[in-house]
Order: sequence, then C-alpha cells, then structure tokens
Amino acid sequence: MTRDSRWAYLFIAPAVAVFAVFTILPSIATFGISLFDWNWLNMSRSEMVGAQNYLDMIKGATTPSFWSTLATTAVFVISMVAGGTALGLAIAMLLRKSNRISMFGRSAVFLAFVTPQVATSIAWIWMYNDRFGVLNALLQSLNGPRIDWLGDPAFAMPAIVIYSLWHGTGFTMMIFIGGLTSVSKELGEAARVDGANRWQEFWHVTLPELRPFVIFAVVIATINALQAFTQFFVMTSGGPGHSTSTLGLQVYQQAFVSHHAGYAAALAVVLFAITAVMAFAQQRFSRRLEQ
Amino acid sequence: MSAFRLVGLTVVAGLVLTACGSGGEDAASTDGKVEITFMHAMSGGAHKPALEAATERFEAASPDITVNLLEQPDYSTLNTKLQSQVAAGDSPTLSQVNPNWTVALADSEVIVPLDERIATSSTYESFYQGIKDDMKLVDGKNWMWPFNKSMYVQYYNTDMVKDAPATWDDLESTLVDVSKDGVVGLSTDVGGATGIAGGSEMVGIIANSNGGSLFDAEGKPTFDDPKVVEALNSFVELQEKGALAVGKNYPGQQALGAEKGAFDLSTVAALEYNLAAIDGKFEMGVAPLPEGTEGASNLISGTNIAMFADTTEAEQDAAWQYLEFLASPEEMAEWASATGYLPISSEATEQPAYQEFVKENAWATDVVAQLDTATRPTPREWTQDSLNIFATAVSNALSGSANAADALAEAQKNATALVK
Repeated sequence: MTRDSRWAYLFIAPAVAVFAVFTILPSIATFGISLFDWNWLNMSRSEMVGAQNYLDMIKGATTPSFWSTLATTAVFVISMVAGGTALGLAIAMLLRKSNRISMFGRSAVFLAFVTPQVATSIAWIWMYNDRFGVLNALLQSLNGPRIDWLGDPAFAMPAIVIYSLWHGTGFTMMIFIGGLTSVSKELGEAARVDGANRWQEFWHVTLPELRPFVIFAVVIATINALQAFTQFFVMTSGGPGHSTSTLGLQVYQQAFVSHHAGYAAALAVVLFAITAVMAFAQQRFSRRLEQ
Repeated sequence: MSAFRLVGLTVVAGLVLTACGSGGEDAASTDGKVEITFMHAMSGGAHKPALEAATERFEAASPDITVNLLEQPDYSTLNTKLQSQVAAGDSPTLSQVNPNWTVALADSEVIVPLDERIATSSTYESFYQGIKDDMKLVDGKNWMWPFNKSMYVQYYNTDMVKDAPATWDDLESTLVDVSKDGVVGLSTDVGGATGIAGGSEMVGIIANSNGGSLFDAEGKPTFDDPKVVEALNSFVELQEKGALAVGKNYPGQQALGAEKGAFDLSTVAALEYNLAAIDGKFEMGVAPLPEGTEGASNLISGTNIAMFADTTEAEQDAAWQYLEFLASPEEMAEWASATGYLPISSEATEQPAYQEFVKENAWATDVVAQLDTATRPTPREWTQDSLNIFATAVSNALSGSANAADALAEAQKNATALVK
C-alpha cells in the first residue's frame, strides 16, 4: 500500500463507517432475522425456522399475499419508471435554455422534490377529497365526473402515481437538464442542415446522446419506486381493500403492526434482491446498447 | 426512510445497544432522587398542556421524582418508536399503550403486571367496571393502568337535526332525510389493513347493539355473524342513498365543520377539535350513540399506561406513585374537564372541576354512565390483525369491490386462519 493510498483510505473511512453501520450491517442482520420467527421485543424468545418465512411467502400465506403485493408494486414501478422518465425528459427539454423563465420553471418543478413527503401527502389527501377537493372541483367545473380518488380501488393507485410523479419528477428533470448540457450542439446543427425536423433531431441525435442519463434515471426511479412507502402509508394505508398494498408497505405492516418481524425481514430481503437484480439488469442492458 | 431500512436499523440498534447494556441501570441517585420517563402521544390541542400541568403538580408534590415526558406526534409513531426503543434495550419507564399492543409486550415479558401494586391502590376500587376490564389481558392479570379513556358519541349540526336520534333506525332515516343540497349525512373513515378506524368500529357497535358481535367468548372472530352483515349492509345502503361518505383524515369533522355533513360519530376526544372545526357557525349537539334492538352498546377507546420491566425497583415505585397521582379523583377530574376524555372513576365525576364541565356539557353524564357496560374485546395475539382484516372488508364493501356478505365471509376466513 502506497503512502497516497493510505491517505485515500483514511479519507473515505468515515463514509465507509457510516455506510457500514447504517446500510451494510442492517442488511446482513435483516437476512439473518429472516431465518427466524423473530421477537425483537425479547430476542431470547426468537426461534430458528430456516426458510419457513420464504416458503410462507411463496405459498401466499399472508393477507394480502406476497404475489398480490408484488403485482401491486410492479404496477407502481412501471408507472413511475415510464411516466417519471418521460415526464422528466419532456420538462427538461422544455426548460433546457438558461433564461429567467426556464430557471423559474426548473425551481418550481424541483421544489416539490425537496418538500417532506408526509406533509405533502396530507396536502394531497385534501386535494383528492372527493367532496371538497380542488381536483374534483376542477373536474366538475369542466362538467367532468366526481371521482373518489383515494376511496375507489380503480383510482387509488393512479392517484398515488400522480402524487409521486409530482413529487419526484423534479429530480429526474435535473438529471436530464445536466445531461442536455453535454449534448453536442454541432451534431444537432448537422442534423438540421441535413433536413431533420425537431422530432427527428430529438429521436436520432439528442436521445442517443442522453442514453447514460436515461439509464441512470431509470435505475434510480426503479429503486425509489420499489422502496416507496411514505405516500402509501399516509394516503391510503394500502387500501381501499388491498389495492395499494405494496411490498414496502407490507414490510412495515408485518414488522410493526402484525409483529411478524421474521416474515417482514424475509420480505425486505426479497425486495432488496429484486432491486439489485433490476438495477443489474438495467446496467447490462445499457452496456449492450452501447456495444 | 424506507420500511426496509427501518426494519434493519431497528434490529441493529437493538443488537448494538443491548450489547452495550444500557438497560436496567439505576436512575436513582445517591441523594434519593429518581428520574422516570413517560412516552406518550398527547401532543395535540389541550392534551399536551393538561398532561404537562398534571406532571408539574406531581413533581411539586413529590420533589424527589422527576418525570421526563417523551412526546410522540401520534399513536402510530408512538407504537413504532416504543417497539424500537424496547428492541434497543432502552425502554421508557412508562408508556401509553393500546391494549392490542400490550399482548406482544406482555408475551415478551418486557412489561410488568400491576396486580401486586393494584392490591394496595387507593383509587382502583372506584374505577368503573368497563375501565377495570380494559386493564386486563386474557390471562386475567392487570397489565395496564387507565389513562385517556373515551367512547363514541354522536356530534350533530342542530340546524339540520333538532334532536339526536335515539335508535340506529332513527339515525338511518335522519341521515337519508338530511342528505340533500350537497350535504351527506355522515362521513367516516373506515381504516384498512394497517389499522381499523371509526367507521369500521361503528359497524361492530351497531351489530353489538342489535345482539351480534365481532368476536365470540373465546375471542375468535365472528365477522360473518348475520348481525354484523346486517350492520355493514346498512352502511352500504346509506352510501347508495348518498347519506354516507367514506374518506380519510377526519372526514366527519371536516364535513361537519364545512356544514356539508349533519353527523360525526367520533369519540369524546374529538369534542375540542369538532368545536374548532365548526368555529361557532352553528350550535353542535352531542349525545350518546343511538341504541339497537338490544339496547345501548359502546366501545371503550383510548389508551392505558404500561410499566416496563427493564427499569429499577426505585423507578417502578416512582412510576407507580405517578400513575396513582394521575388516576386520583382530583387529577382525573382536571384531566377530563380539560381534554374531554372520560373520568375513570365515579369519585372523579364528583369533583368540582368535572361538575363545572358537566354544567356546560350535560351529555357527559349519560356517556360516563356507559363506562360500566361498555366493552372492548379482550385482546389476544390475533385480535389486532383480525380487526385490520375486518376494516379491509368494510372498505371493500363500501368501495364496491365486494358485497357485504362476501367481504365479511372472506374476512372471517382470513381472520380465523390467524387464531392459535
């Protein structure tokens, strides 16, 4: 080890220590607990059950079943990844110029991302209120229907997706605005000289140049959507029925409400595995595209 | 923070802090002073100043004891934080607890039974019977001490409804009559998989007052009881007639305050908040719940206090003095009159402070009288989850996902699978 590398390790040691204590150790502990009927109030009362928690998960032994929550999670993830990426990119394209109006627009969109999710979720509950909410008032002023946004199983998930897009799109937009600054202007000009219209320029020049940023945005959106919890907990508590009961919410429900810490840990491990596999697959896909 | 990380961190904090051996240290100093902690969720409205004032009076009367109030914003956070602290070997001396949480705490031997201390109590004998029953778990031991007790009442807009309905049938017809011109008679939150709420509890109360029940004598779910199905069907029919709306975040209070609802069926703890929502726009009536074919029924709500095992004898002695102080007739009368919660003993109702409250709130006497008959299902290991399953069934029926009988049959099947 060289003298320089020793200094390097010393400098990263605090960050590694924090990462180890708050991320790596809890992850290892969670996997260990998933093999137990765990009583965290009194650990001496925990019993080793091996893979039973995982078998219960596969058998769909709980209500709602693992498979039902997985399907609900998949709907949310797909909506957020597709919707969030497209919306973030579209807004970034609109606000790519560095004039005052664009800067104001960027700030306005990004502001939502830095607001606390609990507070804004409660505000959106009011906006979604089917009798007094501003959204239904707007719909009815346009002779639209009155929608029970959070009380109708058909609308509860779309309502949460809309809120989550409002909250998270600012971050995706900033990624793309950063990416757009690195897009070669010369290539765009060359395309226009060759007769490309705006859409063709975007599709054949800008988007391929943005590919690394798109991949990054998709990976981050996937991870965030898989682990989403706050908006589901505050806005619907997984209802009506189990229509918005996601894996993240079930981890909380099983651990803190039903006191099935071992099963919750098994769910958390599976959630971690799904997240890792998806992130890895997206990276592989990205590399293949680059080749 | 994601739920995944929360679980992991709770566990690691538990392992690390337990290894450090922080629990069980004697907080009593050599000069005989003792410091205890009380974790609570009395953070809103008049609750917080009332609890702080009572604690200051206790500390003035017991100068060797200091009570540190550990405030949490709501019951859900309190439950999560409490479990995390216990897992971390850092239990408070006392905490507010919902009886359903107490099953796991007692089973894990992290709280202590209070029977020996209750045998010497100067206040226990005067507690109402419903309060005494609510202190016990199924093993017959007293694991809790009563604190902020409440029961359901009907709040109504006297401009829309002259007299409070006396029976559930009267209430249903009144709700239909008043539901016009943008008014929906009753708005309620039914809860769901993460917790039961007032609307679902009301279905149980209606069933009970008509001779049905959500649980049998052994605590096994009986959600497919015809009286329960009938009660849920009555809610579905009211909704179809536009007389009942389901929402979140205190929908009954919102609608009543906006003069878009005629009734709010909530506990007495909502009195202060309903008055604030109405803000003098009309006179709010308060009355006991309507009766069914078998008479009145009500559910004891609110929380108790549990004492934690991971504390020294000196701390437990000091904590017991604090509990006895809070339950004393004078203090309970102050607490009840300041917050709207119910006094837990007949002696408290005779105190001047509560007599003053009753002068302004004549309905309180009839509600307090129900404390001798009101019940809460004695919690068992499966009760909390079963109630959440029941709330999900109510939610399904009212959202049109299933009819009442099918939703309750499914809930019965799922809840029965939890019974051990």
